[in-house]
Amino acid sequence: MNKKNNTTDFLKNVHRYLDNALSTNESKNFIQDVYKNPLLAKILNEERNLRTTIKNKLQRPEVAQNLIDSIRDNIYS
Amino acid sequence: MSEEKEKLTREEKIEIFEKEFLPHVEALKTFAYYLTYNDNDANDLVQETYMKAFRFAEKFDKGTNAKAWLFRILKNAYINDYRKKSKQPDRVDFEDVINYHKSDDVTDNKYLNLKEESIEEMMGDEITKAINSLPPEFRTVILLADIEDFSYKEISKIIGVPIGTVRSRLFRARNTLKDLLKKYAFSLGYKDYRSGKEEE
Repeated sequence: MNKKNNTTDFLKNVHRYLDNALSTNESKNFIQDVYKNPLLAKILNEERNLRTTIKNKLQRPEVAQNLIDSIRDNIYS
Repeated sequence: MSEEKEKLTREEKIEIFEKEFLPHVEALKTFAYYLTYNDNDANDLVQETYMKAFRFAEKFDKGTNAKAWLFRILKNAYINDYRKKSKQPDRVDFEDVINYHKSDDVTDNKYLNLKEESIEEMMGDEITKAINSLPPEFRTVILLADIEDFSYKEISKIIGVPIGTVRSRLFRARNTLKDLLKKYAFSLGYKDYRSGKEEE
């Protein structure tokens, strides 16, 4: 398998690992690969940090109390 | 054969609404906002979602994942009602995006290759801009997976596509997002830590 395919496969596994979508055995094998290769560990860390940053920094719109009141009014009326 | 569900009393429906549906209003508003780009439209969409959820509360299995159920209603309301009413089709046709990003293959530059701090130091504005720049189908899966932590299976039910499609769409969406963030990082003066070069 060439380097490009390896990188693609590894990145797919990074995503699945962080998405909790790997089986127990797949996770175990994946982590063993990561331990063996500092570059893979770096990529995994980068992906994890990116997700945390996106989650923490994405601007979330305010939910005004009048929206909740209006929903209740429509339902209760 | 479908199982006949017991009809709920109005009081029971109100209890489900208050205890299981309403706690998700913030998440629904965020999702609606990133679908519509407009605070008023997002409020309308959330309101419509709750009206439909209340009307069809019998179809909800008490104790199951109310959040996923509500997101599914909101997504359908957006596709069936809001987009038609607003006459504002998505800015990019999804098929074009699929063709453009046909390949799942990635090369080395698909991981960020930047100093970690560059992304961490980005302001919410840049992150938000990058998310907004994504084609709608990509934006949707990123929001569902990375902001709301839905599983592939839940996302598959919410947007009505097979799990394999969710997985590959997410993969492409994240790579596209990374490209956008990389461009923002370069524009802020960060360098590729391997090549030591700044992107023009």
